[in-house]
Amino acid sequence: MTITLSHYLFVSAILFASGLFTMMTKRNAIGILIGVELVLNSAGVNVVAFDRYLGPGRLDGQLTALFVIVLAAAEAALAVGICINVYKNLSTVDVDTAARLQG
Amino acid sequence: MQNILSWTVFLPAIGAVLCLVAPKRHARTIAFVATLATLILSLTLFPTFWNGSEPEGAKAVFGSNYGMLHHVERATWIEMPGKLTIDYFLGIDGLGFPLFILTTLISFLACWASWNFDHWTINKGPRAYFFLFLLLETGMLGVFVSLDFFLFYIFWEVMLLPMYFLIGVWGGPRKEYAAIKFFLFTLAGSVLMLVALVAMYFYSGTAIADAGGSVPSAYRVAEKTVLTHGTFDLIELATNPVIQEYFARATTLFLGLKFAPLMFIFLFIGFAIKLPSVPVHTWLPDAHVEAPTPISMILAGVLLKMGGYGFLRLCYPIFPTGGEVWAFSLAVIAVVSILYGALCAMAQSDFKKLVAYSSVSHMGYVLLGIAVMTQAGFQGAMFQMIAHGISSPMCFFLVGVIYDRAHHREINRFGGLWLTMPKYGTMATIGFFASLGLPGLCGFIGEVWVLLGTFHAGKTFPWAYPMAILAAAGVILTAGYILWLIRRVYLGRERHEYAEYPDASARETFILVPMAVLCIALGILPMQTVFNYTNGTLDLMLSHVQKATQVHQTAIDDHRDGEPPGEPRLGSSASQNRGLVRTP
Amino acid sequence: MTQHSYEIALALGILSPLVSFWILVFFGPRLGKPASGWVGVILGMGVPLALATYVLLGWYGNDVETRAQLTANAFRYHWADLGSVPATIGVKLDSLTVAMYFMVTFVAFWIFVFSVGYMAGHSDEVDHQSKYHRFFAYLSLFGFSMLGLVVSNSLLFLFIFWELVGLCSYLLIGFYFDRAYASRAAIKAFVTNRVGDFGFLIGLMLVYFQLGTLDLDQAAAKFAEQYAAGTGLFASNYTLFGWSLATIMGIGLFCGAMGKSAQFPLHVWLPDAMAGPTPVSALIHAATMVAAGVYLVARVFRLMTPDALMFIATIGCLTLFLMSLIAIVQTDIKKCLAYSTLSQLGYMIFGMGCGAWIAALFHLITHAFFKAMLFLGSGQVIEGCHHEQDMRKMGGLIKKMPVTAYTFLIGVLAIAGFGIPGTQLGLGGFFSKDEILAVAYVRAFEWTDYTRHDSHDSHNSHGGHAAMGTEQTSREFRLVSDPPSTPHSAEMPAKHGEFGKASIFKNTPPLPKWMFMLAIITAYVTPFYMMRCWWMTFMGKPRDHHVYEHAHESPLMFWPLIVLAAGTIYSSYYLFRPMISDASLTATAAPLVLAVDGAAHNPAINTAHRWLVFGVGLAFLVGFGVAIGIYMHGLALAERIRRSVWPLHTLLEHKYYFDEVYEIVWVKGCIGLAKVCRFIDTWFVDLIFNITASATERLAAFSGLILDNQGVDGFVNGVSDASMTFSDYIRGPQTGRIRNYVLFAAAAATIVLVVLLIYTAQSGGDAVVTASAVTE
Repeated sequence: MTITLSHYLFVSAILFASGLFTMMTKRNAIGILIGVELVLNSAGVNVVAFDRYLGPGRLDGQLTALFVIVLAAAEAALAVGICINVYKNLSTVDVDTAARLQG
Repeated sequence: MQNILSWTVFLPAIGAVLCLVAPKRHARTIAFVATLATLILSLTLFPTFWNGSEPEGAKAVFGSNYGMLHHVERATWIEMPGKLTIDYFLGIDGLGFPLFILTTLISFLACWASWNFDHWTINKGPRAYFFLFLLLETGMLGVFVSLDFFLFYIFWEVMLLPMYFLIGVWGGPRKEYAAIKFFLFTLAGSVLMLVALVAMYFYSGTAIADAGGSVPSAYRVAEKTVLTHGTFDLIELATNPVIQEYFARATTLFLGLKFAPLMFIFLFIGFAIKLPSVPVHTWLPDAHVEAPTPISMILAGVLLKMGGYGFLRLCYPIFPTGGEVWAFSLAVIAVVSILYGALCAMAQSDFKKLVAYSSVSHMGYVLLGIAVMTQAGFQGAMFQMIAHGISSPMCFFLVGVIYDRAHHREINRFGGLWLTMPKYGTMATIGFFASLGLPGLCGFIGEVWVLLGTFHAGKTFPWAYPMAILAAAGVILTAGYILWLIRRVYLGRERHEYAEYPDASARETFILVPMAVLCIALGILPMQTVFNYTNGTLDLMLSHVQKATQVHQTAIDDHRDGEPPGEPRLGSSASQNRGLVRTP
Repeated sequence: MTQHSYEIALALGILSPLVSFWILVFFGPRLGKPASGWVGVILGMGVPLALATYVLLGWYGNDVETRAQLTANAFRYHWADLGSVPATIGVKLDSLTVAMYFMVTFVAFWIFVFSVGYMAGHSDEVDHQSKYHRFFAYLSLFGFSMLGLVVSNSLLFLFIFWELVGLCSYLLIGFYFDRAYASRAAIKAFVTNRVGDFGFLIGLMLVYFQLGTLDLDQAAAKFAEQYAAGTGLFASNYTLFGWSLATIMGIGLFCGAMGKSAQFPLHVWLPDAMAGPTPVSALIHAATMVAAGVYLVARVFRLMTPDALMFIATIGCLTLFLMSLIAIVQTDIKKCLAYSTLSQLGYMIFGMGCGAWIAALFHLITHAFFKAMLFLGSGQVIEGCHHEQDMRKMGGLIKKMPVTAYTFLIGVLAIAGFGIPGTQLGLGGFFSKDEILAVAYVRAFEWTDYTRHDSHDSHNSHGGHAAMGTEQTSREFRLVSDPPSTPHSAEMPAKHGEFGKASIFKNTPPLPKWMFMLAIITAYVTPFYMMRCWWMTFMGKPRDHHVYEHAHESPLMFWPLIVLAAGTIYSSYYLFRPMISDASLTATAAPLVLAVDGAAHNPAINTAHRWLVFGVGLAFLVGFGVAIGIYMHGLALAERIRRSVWPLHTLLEHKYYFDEVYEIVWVKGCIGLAKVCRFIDTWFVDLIFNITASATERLAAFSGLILDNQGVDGFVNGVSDASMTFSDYIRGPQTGRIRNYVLFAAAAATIVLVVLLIYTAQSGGDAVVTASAVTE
């Protein structure tokens, strides 16, 4: 059995679906954050896979993946900061409780 | 004195401002001084008119057909070069002069009659009262001397608003109704007047444009004034041959009606409401009944005269053909006013309402005299205005005097007042007999002149005979209701509830005496008191009207000895368009 | 003597009462009781009387030419312009004026004197303040107005003073104005007069319009001119009831006289006017003011047409007959005299209508004297009898008040026409009334002879016939209309001569015979009721002892009686008739009508007049006889007669029901009409305004509340409401929950993907191709 692009895409799809599902079901802010990370990583997998199979010899996909990883790290840092602040104010990280800013 | 007219007109306004800023208790003093000063100032106009309103060379003035103006003041007020000029244009002639004097006199007397303001039922706000009062006087005076239609209209409206408040605030129980009624009626007339104002401006503009865009002024010849666009100048509108000719032949865009008769009737309605004529008279009884006594005096003495003045100043000189077209209808309205007013007066049980309806009847003579367009008719109408301007305020004041004491005006509840108050009774006799038209008192001259003038008009208008006879029947009715009134109020046995009433106080006597004296003086010396000042202007105006319409072309002078019949006596055609107006 | 001295004297005589009036108005209360009366007597009438005497003597001292000159040159002051017709004021200086002026001042002076005594007891009774001075103030004002009326040279001023005497009459009738009936009578008098004046005004309008002047002389000249030329009044073919315009003018002017002289349909005010004090009745309502109507007709005689004169004669005839019958049944002494006055005024008017210009004015003057005296006598009686006016309660007063009784008797004799036929001896009525009757007779019976005769002659041929000259001729009847000898004829165009007597006679129809008969019958009735009045009052037995006991005479008051009685005896024939005859020369120079002079009791000639003198001149004997016969023994016989003719009596007692009818038709009618007008004014004219107002209000409510709030506002609000609702819907998904957003995003992505796939599948895998193109 050879590993084809479809396999990578399949893994990426599962990752994406899991992340999406996590985002949709979790009320915990940290959980949602994890879901976001999963989605981002699925995108990274996708990008690297496309780079490998569709455009070998080019570094576009790899670079994009790196960019995504950096972005995810920054996003995680920011989000955790927000979560800590929310926790400080509300003693919880339940996003429904923090829905005050809802328009 | 330079600008005497402006000073006289705006002196009350200055007083009005002072009233507002002065302490409350001094308001009436200021008003008194202001009206007195205005009266004295206006009396200085007399020397101008000593030799009649038609001095040497006046025949040539205004193209020989419209009286001599004195004390002319003219300044450009609002101007859009080449398009619009509105002048601050004041001047006085035999038409405005007696009414001007009448206004200052009656205003002064009415102001004095307001002296007991503090004892009125509604005695709040003396400053506002006297402020409005003086503002009203400015408005009235302005109407009689402004010769620019725009200015005229502004003064006309200025006079309206104070009156509304004076009735609406200090009036009787139904004051709001009366005030609004007065306001609406007059405003309805004003609106039509506004239409006429605009129309006259544009049509005169068209006339000038048709004539090549520049027309020499008919009377400002010395200054070589040239008209290039429409004008509001009343004298110009009446005398400029180009404009007159165009007015006579123009038709309106709307429905293609003749311009002159339509505009005539627009202006007529506005002035007839003021006069007032049946069927637009009903504001008058209500306004009179509700208005406080001094305001009634002003209303009867001056405001009603503006209607007649408007006819003579605007309707007839500017639209002579309109006068010809509507003569019959106007005469019918006049005769109906005379008879109907008298009958209505007879049926009243409210003292003031009776006097108010008698005004309707008396002003009917004014309209009749003007409508028939004869010399005696014009003179009589003018005289009747002055005479009524004196006798009717007197009657209203007489009612006011008794109302102050009795606090009601039911004629049938009075009786024997002559015995209780002999001085007052004597004055009342003079006042009411003057109103009745007794010879020797002022009411008689106007009536007889109008009746004879009306009959004389039969040469051109055959319907004038029955009109004159019907109007003459009015004198019987007048005698009926006035004598009946006198009997019920002044004669008969004394009633004990009135027995303690004091006779006319010194103030009341001093207000009544000038009016009583004038009633007698006008009746005995009509020439010296009125006709000398008015006849020149009226004759010139009438000959202007007659020339334009061919009405009574020969009637005016066919009894004149020493002159061949048919030759117009006043201003032959040769002197036409030779302007010599004395403008500063 | 200067040119204008007479005019100045007459004018001063007019102004003097005016001065007196003002003095009494301002200082009357301070002058007090007798003093203000004497001011009235001296200034009010004494001065005018003195001036009148001066003018009278001076005037008749001049010859005819001088007088004509004075008349023509009389001063005129330009008072005002009526249109372009000048209205002048001036003294009409001629014999008629002088005679009337003297008569008025003379009679009035003695009445003023009488009033001083009379009002002393009468002015206080009704009032806590004395009205004494007020009475004399009014009397003075009346003197001013009446004298002004007499001297006026223009119709306008005639009218002005006409109204002023009406005012004085009003004030004096209503002198006891605290009594309801007095003030009612005053109004009745004034308004009735105004009805007459309405006609006067129409006449005035016609004069002004057609003749173009208001001056009496000029109007007459113009009238003649227009008649000659067939223009103006005569050119018009406009007629009313078959009357020409000129006739209407004449009748219009006469209407004024009808009011003032209380002629037939307008007579109702005079009996009621007796509510005034008795001297007023004597002065105004017997001697002077009521005669002004006759004077007016005399003044405008030159403006009359035959038809107008016929109308005048008819009215006069009806008045004299109907009123004399009412006088028979009166029991109030003043009312009895009032109806007799009416009847005598009817005679005068009738005389005017017949053309008996001289006789009518002559009768006016004699009547003024004796009727004033009779009224003063009745005043004396009333005063003496404690304000009792009912004759049935009097009787036998001759013993208590002899002077009054005898002077009253002289008056009765005078009015009855006492005289000795065939001689010059007689009292006033004997000459004047018979003269009127004589003319009436000729007009009724012998007129056709004249007409035929003269129309066949050229107009100036038979000098001896029909008397063209001023000489007394063999013929008794002179035609005083005599254009060639008058000053006015000179002013008239030459054409004027063409209508001489011939056309005059043709124009003037004979008098209907019934008129003459009525006048004759009345000549018999008059002595009857006058004697009845005198007898009931003064003779027989006293019927009411209370009245009788109280009766007395006041000395201040009987001197005027005696003077007037003397005047009655003397004035009659020798003083006034020549004056009037003289006046007639100018005052009657009419082209259209003629004045017929019946030179009274001239022993010469006319057969008709001769038997008239005996037939009518002795009528007083019959009348007196019947009256004395009935009332000799008290009222019993009279009562029996009354019962036997009760329908007639009732009719007379109610004065033919004129008052009642007028009350219903005019007074009630007028007030009813007035109420209708008020109703219309309130419920129709005003209603229109109110409906308009309320309609506007409704419209405002509609536009403001419905149109504006629900229409315009509704639209605007609707838009915003809609957007609100819409945004509400849209807001729903915006939960703020990230998971929801994620879900939406995922769902949306899924949908887009699915759509894309379907689309791709349909378009045959283009999308895939594209995708593969991207990948490569």
